[in-house]
Amino acid sequence: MKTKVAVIFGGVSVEHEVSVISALQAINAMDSSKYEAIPVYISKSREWYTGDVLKDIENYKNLDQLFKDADKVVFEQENENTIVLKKKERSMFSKGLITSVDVVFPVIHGTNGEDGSLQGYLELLGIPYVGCDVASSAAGMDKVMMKQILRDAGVPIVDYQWFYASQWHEDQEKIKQLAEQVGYPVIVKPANLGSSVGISKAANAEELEEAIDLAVSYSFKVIIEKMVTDLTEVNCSVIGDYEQVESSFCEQVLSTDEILSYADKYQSGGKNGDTKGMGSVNRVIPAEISEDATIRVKQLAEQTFKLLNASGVSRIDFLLNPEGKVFVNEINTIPGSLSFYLWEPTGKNFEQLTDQLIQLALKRERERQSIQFSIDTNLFSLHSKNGGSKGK
Amino acid sequence: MQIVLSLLSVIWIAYLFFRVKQGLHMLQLNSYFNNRLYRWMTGHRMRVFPINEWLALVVSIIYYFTENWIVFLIVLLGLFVPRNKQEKKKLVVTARVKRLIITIFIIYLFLIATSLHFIWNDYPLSYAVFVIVLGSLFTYGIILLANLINRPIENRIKEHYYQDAKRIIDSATNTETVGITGSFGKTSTKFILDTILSSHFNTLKTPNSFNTKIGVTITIRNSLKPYHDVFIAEMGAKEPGNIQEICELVSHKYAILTAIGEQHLETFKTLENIKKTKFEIVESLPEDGIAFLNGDDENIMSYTPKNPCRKVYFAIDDQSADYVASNIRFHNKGTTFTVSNKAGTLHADFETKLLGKHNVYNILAAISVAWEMNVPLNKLQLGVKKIQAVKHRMEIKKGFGNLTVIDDSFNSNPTGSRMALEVLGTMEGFKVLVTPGMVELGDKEFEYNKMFGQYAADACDYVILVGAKQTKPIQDGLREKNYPEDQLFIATDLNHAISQIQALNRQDAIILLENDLPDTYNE
Repeated sequence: MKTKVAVIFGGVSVEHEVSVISALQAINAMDSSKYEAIPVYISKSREWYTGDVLKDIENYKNLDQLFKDADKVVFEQENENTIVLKKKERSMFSKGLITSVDVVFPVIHGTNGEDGSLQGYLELLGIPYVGCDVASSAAGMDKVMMKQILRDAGVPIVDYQWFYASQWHEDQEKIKQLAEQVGYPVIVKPANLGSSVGISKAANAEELEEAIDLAVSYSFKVIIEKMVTDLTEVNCSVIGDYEQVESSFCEQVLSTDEILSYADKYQSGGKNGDTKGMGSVNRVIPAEISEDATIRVKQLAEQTFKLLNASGVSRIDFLLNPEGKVFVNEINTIPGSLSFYLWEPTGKNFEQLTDQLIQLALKRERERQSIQFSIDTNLFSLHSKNGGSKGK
Repeated sequence: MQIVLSLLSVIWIAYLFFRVKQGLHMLQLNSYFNNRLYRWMTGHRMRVFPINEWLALVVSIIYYFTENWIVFLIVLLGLFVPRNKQEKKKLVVTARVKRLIITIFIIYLFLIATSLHFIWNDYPLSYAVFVIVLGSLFTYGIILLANLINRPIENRIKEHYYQDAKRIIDSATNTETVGITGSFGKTSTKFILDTILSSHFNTLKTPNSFNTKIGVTITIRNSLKPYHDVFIAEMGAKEPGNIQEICELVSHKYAILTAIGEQHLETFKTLENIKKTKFEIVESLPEDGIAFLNGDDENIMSYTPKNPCRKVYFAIDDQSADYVASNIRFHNKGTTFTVSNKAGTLHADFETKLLGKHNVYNILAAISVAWEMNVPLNKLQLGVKKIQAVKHRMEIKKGFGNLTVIDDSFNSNPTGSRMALEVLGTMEGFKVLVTPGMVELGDKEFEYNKMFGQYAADACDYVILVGAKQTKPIQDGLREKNYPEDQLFIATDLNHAISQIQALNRQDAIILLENDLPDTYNE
């Protein structure tokens, strides 16, 4: 008997393809003597599929064929403690049951997967799942919320301002003033997109306009950040939960441009359809930064993880200026390739990583169940109307 | 005429549907035991043999003489007087009920075939009528018969469930099972062990007091997941062999024997039988299994198990045991104690919200198991801290203006109340007892309450008795011990008692609420 792990990936997100790669990596990494991985693929048109054909990356080249070979499915609560995957189209004589599911492992980057919405759905289903819960996913996804939480705790972040897209359309001058306050050069980003999409830099008001126009086409909420010149970009992964965390090796991201573009991140090195995902970016592990900076990055990574009440594995991205000052840039609560490449040098291979993540999900589930038991009763109920606490 | 009767036969089936449903419901409420249903039937004759059906029978006999089918029709219609009775617990249409319905349906099909045979083959029509009326009259009889017919099938299905559960648990190779049995304390120990182990493992326990073979089977089939590391099975015994059966089902690796007392003596006959049955949990362990035994229990210690497996003894009094709890202190937050083991690997303090020596035994048993399962000390200590008290059983609360209250309102037996006073007596603070006394103790009620008063005199700084008349024996007990009158207050009801507690105005007060009674008892 193996624990059935439904790995959900794809989804309605600009990082759809990256998600497929990360998920298939995770599925291959899972200890098959302990876990049975069930691929659950959400297409760009929001339809859910399962089937062994989904386990091979080659099959994604011809999506029409893939959809024909896979089964369209829905999750269903069969009884109090059984969640099952069922065929969406059932014949008259079949219940359409495909399999029961014990744990869900979401591997979707960005919208509708990393932002708490999928997590909310899983909460409603009442099934344990890997990674951050609803609130921490949402806070991690929204760059503004994340910065507000971090700033409140005194974690170093670069100066920023934010606004809604509608404000930009109403009063451009005011928004430009916000940029002045931050001070050029700035980086303009959509506030709630997981990837590098829609991000651009602006050295002056003219470029700003262009940058904002791009950003508002991706999000209703936009953030203007002070650009760190001559920056060093360093990432560090953290695994654990509110009780116990550990941080990985640090990686240094090498980029020709100051901003790591979507193409840099996911298409560099790949021949026909990148299958290596995050593993193929130009990177240096460990990061070539001072020992002090490494310690600082690791410490801030763990602090950020705990402040946001994250769970599972996250990757926290940092900006270092030439003076060696460290700023927390963002958190990825479902990082590309689950950051396995940052853990391998520490002696934790991808199989151990997935195992630890699933165990963390089960731990959270059992803690939740134990909490529901301890609802205190009011002592005054002892001498209520009929005087007997035992009742009659 | 024949057509009318044939039609009636069909209508008859529709009516029977309601009768059968009612009967099945009663069978279900009697746990599908024919003898229990029969006992219920003898007590509810009017429901089993409805009067209108008796009438129908009588009139059909008249019809036999008059040959007037209109009379018969009228009477038959009388059968359809709708009866709407509110049911507390509705019939649950389980697979078993469906199977019964099929059997019953076949029986009735046979009856209706007989009746149609009479109708269409020129027999006197009364023959058919007779079959119809008898069929309705003996609905319950037919249900009993169907249940009897189905019994071998049901047994086989049950056996299939056992086998299925066995298959599931055998295939869960990562799951280790802990079996718990004993004359008392097994349910508490189960909850405590689960709380402690779940700080480190994924656990599953049999819910509530599920402790029979079928209870364990249901738990495994419905809830055991491959990721469960530990399955905690409570095992109860009503007769010899019961525990053996469950053990064979779950193949446990750890066994806890909490205590052995003279419970269920009527079915076990002798204490030896009880011991032997409880020790089935040890005897059925594999050789690499571990038995955890209460080293202070003389009934456990006087039995020599044949199984060569490892035995771990836990105790409070016997200092030579493998795991010993010492330095037990009761205070307004609960209990603190130290646990050390013979191996010298464990020596640590534990805190719990629970009170009472019996709880220390239960927790100690759980600690021993958890330690042998390599649960880290900090998680063990945290787990013990998390254990919740059972409602109204020595449950520490804050109340009456942030004072410490020990709610023991569920307790009303002499041993339990004495133990509660002992715990209170060792605590630091201004000790107040609030009680309406104990009731329903039969002949010895006066004597027990008087003794209760005597113990209270030694343990308490202040006593509030609720109800002057009913607490007379306690007052006597207190006075015999020369308990100062100014430390005794007799309240008319609980609210009166509460206002007196407030009037005392002692911030260090610890209030023991011993037994709780409805106001009607406050004379």
